[in-house]
Amino acid sequence: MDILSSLALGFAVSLSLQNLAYCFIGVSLGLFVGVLPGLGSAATIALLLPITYSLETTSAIIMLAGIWYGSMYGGSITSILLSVPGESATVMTTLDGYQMARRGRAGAALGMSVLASFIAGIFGLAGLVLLAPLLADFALRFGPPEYFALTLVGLTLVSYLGTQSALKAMAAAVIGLLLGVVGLDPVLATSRFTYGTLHLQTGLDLVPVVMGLFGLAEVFNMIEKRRVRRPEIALPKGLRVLPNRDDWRAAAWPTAQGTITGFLVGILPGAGATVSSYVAYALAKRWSRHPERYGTGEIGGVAAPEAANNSATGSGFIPLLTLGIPANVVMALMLGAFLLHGVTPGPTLMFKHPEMFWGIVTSMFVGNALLLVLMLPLIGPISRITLIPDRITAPFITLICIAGVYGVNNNPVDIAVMTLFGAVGYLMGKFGYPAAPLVLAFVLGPIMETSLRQSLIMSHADFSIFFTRPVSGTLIGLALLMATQPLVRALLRAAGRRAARAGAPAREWSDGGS
Amino acid sequence: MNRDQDAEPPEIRGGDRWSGAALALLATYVAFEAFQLPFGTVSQPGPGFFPVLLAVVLFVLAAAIMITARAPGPVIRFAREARDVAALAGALLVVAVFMDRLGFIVCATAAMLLLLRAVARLSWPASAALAAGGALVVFALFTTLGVPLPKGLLLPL
Repeated sequence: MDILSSLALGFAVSLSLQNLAYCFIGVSLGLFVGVLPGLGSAATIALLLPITYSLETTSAIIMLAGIWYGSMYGGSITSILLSVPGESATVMTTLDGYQMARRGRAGAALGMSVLASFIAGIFGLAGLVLLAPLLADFALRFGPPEYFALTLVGLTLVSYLGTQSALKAMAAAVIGLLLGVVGLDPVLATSRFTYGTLHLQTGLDLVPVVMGLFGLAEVFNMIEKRRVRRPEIALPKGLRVLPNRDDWRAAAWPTAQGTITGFLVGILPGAGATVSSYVAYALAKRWSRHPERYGTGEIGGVAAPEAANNSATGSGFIPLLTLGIPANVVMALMLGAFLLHGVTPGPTLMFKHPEMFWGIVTSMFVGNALLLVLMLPLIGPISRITLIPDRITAPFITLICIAGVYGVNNNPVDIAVMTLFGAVGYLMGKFGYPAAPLVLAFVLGPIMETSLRQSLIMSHADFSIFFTRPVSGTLIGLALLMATQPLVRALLRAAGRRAARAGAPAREWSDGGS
Repeated sequence: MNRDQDAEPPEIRGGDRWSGAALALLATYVAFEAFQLPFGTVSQPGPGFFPVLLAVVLFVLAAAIMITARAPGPVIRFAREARDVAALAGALLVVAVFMDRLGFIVCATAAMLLLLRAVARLSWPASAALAAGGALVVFALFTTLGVPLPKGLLLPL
């Protein structure tokens, strides 16, 4: 099937009244929670996974995808107006966006962020449309070693990028893999870590784990911090949101650069929108003729990261839809949603369910257009959502957590599991361990284990199978390089510190109590 | 030093060493459990193969986290409101116990009432109205979307 007829098929699905409605619900919800600081898109998708159970697979994914890119649009509003990122992917937007707002140019910053998001979103999707069929075709030849290599790269990248301590992130990932082991062995169906209970026989459910780690843990943080927030920028009445000609001239190149950067970084397993926005901002600054103006309210500093994070949302779907490998945590949740509906995404998805594949892809064009139409006129009122204080949102998030997690199986044990993981997530945050690698690893675990064991069976215990095949060899080499580098660097640093301290009296580290 | 006014909030010093030690313990336990499973051979890996491998990796990472921890380590602080966090966790476990018997609306309203009073510090009437209203709206929303929630006590209504 050529691309045009595929797109026609897709739009027939995505423009059906029902799917249009779910797309609208998805982007509106995403926009709403994107504006609310604190609740991230991964948490929202986790919270809404249960209500997609009764939907058709295509509608469910359309809605969940809408939440994701919708939150990318919304997250920039708080970044610009309050210097508080509504999403981790909009952190970089605070630098110049907030400065622009302080100089009374809030409207242009907001408008530029929406327009750059839209342009990049469309280009990212166009890339997805062109690249996905080629990659799916290529991926049909992938065997277990390639899949093992892909999961390994995904996990090392997610630990390596955008986290403070790669060691802690890797430890979180290993715990996630271990949680994925619970249940029946995927090859021989032996019970593992089930402690004789039937409940654990099928493994830990994704929903209570994720709702605990992202939803409830966030509530716990809100309760502890009791953040009080007051907007420092009053929105002028009759906000002018369209950027002027000079703005366009200054933002054109950063937008284009951000789009390309975002697309490339977004495809990488383990990277995603947040990392892409960092890279795009850094490049925009470096390549600018006035790098010193960045951070003081340069419109390119808004356009580049906004373009990057939206372009990355489109390309982030590529590994999931063509390989069945989620590139980041949000995609891991999408994979969870696919699996809950009994569909395994992978190279054959496009051929077996073309209406689903192209319906989902084209719905994102529709959703981006909806967001543009929604946001340009309504940006003022939408910004007021930032006025809702955390102390009001926290109880409502809890309510939805209870309903969602219980609604899945009507099993009260799930509420307890969610509470447990909420506490785990809260403590992980305290001790500086990121939760995202854990969740990604939890989802990737079974794929990784099965492909590892199949590879070893194939090769009769010869580990060189991972290195002699070109695709898996390249990927594994990359993963090993990244995985060992922080370890070696950290050990060298520690040894250096010890040597430097050799003369001075050693400071003791006390155990704080007990 | 931003010590809080009256009561001293609990804090843990040397956070990295503690968390590293906890992970090492976890890795040891996992290894112990995983060795009970058939390991198989490398050419025919059994159910125990992957968990044993993971336990070893986790142990190495835990050791590295402890070794590379900066001397005093980060101080982990809990604000005084951490008590509320524990209280909410406890309340959710109570909800889990009573959910089947009392149903979603009663349980959710009670939990919301607690949070709105204690965290949002709203007045009783406002809390009650928001709690009951919120629970009913979510109940209606989920039920219409085809996600069944137990009616429990409200069954006859």
